[in-house]
Amino acid sequence: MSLAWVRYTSCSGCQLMLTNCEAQLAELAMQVELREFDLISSACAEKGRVDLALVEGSVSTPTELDSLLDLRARSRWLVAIGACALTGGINALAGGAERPEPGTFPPQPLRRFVRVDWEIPGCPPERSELLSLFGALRHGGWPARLECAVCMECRIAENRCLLMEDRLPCLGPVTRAGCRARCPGVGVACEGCRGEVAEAHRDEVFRLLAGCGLPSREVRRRLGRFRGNGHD
Amino acid sequence: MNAGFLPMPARIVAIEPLDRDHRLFSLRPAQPFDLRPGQFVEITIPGVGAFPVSACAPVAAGLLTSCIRRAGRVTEALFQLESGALLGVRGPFGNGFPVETFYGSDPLLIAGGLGIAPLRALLHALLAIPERVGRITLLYGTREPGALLFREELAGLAATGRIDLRLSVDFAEELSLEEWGVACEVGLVNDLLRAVTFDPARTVAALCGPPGLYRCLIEELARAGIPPQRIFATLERRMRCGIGECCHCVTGGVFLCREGPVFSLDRLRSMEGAI
Amino acid sequence: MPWPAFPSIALQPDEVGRLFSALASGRLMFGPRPGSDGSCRLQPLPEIPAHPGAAQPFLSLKKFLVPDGDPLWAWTSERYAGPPPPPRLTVVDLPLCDLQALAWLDLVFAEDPPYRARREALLVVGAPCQPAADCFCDPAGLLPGGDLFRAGTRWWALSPVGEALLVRAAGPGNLAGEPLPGPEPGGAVPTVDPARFAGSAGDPLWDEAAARCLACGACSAVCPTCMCYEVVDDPRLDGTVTRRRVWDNCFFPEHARVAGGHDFRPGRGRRLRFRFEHKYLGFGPWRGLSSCVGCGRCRRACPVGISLEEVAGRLARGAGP
Repeated sequence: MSLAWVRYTSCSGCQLMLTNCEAQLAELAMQVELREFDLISSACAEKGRVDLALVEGSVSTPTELDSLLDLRARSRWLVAIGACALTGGINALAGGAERPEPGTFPPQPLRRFVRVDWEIPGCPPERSELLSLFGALRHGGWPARLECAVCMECRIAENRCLLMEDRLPCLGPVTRAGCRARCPGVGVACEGCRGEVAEAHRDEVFRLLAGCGLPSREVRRRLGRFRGNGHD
Repeated sequence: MNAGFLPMPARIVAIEPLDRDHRLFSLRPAQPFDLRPGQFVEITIPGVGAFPVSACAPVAAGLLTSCIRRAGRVTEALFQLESGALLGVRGPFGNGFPVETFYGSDPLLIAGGLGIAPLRALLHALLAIPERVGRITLLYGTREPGALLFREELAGLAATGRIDLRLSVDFAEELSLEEWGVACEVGLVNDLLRAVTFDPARTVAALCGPPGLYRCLIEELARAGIPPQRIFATLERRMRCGIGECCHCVTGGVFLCREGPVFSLDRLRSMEGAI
Repeated sequence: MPWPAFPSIALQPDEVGRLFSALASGRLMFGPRPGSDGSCRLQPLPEIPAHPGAAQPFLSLKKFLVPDGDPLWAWTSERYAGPPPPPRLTVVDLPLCDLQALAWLDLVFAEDPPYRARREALLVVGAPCQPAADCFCDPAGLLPGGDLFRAGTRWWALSPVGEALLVRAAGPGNLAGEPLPGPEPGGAVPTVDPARFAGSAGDPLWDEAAARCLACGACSAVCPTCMCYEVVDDPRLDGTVTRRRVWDNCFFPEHARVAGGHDFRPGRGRRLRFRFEHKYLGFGPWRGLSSCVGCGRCRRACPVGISLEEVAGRLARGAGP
């Protein structure tokens, strides 16, 4: 399987999550043929057809957009990796309030422009999810996941509830699980980096967060942070 | 076949495309097994997942034959596989159609869309015992003519007088079905039902189709005089365990995977949310 | 109503010593212990505490018996193989509500091979606890499951395995039926009239009760008798696969959705009604058997304060217009 890892507006943190899987890298190297992956290899082959394109980051310049359209055209599968690629992520936090850099536009998620075959959420994404993507593709399919909220995994981990017991503005109830409640597990309120669950009860979670003493404006900002700023 | 969660290895031995999103898969499980019409199995693609499916033909020569629609993550992966691939099969699960209830009757089979698949298995089981059943009628409706599955086979059965076949489609640019010598209406399966004559006292009905089909048709059969205990429908639900544990398929307090998926109308009437 | 009677005996110190060795031999031991955050969990114990002290843990025995992510099989070199044998465990000092919940799990998973393997490798010892303000015990509910029960120097055999352990420690013939010294019943599991429930499908009660529901799944996750599960494949890079059973939840949008997208149980109101039905009326062969044990975990875990007991009260009073 030929692989291109391409990065647009982002911090490279998603690639690092994969390159940090030291124990699995040898196995991975046997499975994939690296065509483009700046962080791993400078020996870049011709930009030809690839089986799998993994794309990190949001799109915020015309050059990135051209590159994305070209990548889509020459990829069998295109997978969006991480919060920036899915919703604009951290890059979109400025929300267009400030004057944009010349030659840029507000950061956009990939699916604004191209068909995305699969998504791996998170800032950064979970290593386990990156690895099961390769694992499942070996068998010709996409990996399974249970669509639910972080609260479910947080209770399974028997964590103390930060929202109810400490009145911390935790986004667990409306955030897609899969991280095994990594942040609440160490006492940090969920920031919602994996994006919003399906059928999220926004009104109720707004009330809960406001009940933690946050002003409405701040609650709205937190809830919108990884929602894609209304692109959907 | 086997107890517990361990699948039996099963190899794909044939794949026959029916249309863009439907293919006929023949699997050969490692050990002999049987599957009654309307029962279902769980097919596993290791590494991707599993899905429930019924057979569209009686098991013959150790082959499990299913008509599978590309409709989700796992079936999408199945459509990437080729003959020879090794899968897994668990089952059989559920009750299936009570074939003996059809003895001495005029079977009336009503299918909507992919609902033809389990009914075709029942049809073949009934065709195998001509001395025990009377006139077989099949009403079959789909969205458009291209989506009619098994049409050559069904047309052949109709042409030789073995079944009375009526087809309908929701939409059609033009009906170019004359080549098989079978009439096809534009409309709903309900219209087909009104057009056929049957003796309710001699009729046993079996239905399979989307929820809408049951809502519009099943009580109409009862109103036509068929006793509700002789009207059968098979219900589609999310099936995961097949053994009455995981709770996804529960309808009206009943584990459909264990007690169903085939129920008579008199039972269905007492199961909230069944139809 | 008193707690049911089981064969019982007061043990001498040397007999307790023999029993403790039998319970500990070749086994990992767990018991409810408060963590540094004040939350009580089933945690590893170096030894069995000399004095019984039951407390309600955050998660009940289902975390050992149907653990989230439990392997069902592995696929290696084109072969399917069952899971490895489970660890041998002894869990002590469980409160009666959790023993009642264990009885329910034993019932619904009676034919489930992975459950049975884990259950057969598990010894469960109960003890009386001090009920909290937000939970109640109902002796009229499920007959407590488990193997042994202890209070002071007295022991009860709750299962044939438990009885054999007591006989081995104290000799045969000395056991006599004695009610369990459970706490005073603080309440009763709501009785739901099946006819009233059946007639309530169109009642606004359900949507009202679920109006604030986040569908976060916390209630079912902590419930000792909730047991919905999903199965997912865990594929590794080397091509091997483990199929796992993961905890699912009837509040999740995918729970009743079939391939192609049709949802047979849309909306939070219907999903809450489904959970209510499962809890108080039971499904399939267990229709008529309530699996609520009064532990109060669901209410405590709900970020928006939904209480199934209150819903049951409203249903009984005849809510709606």
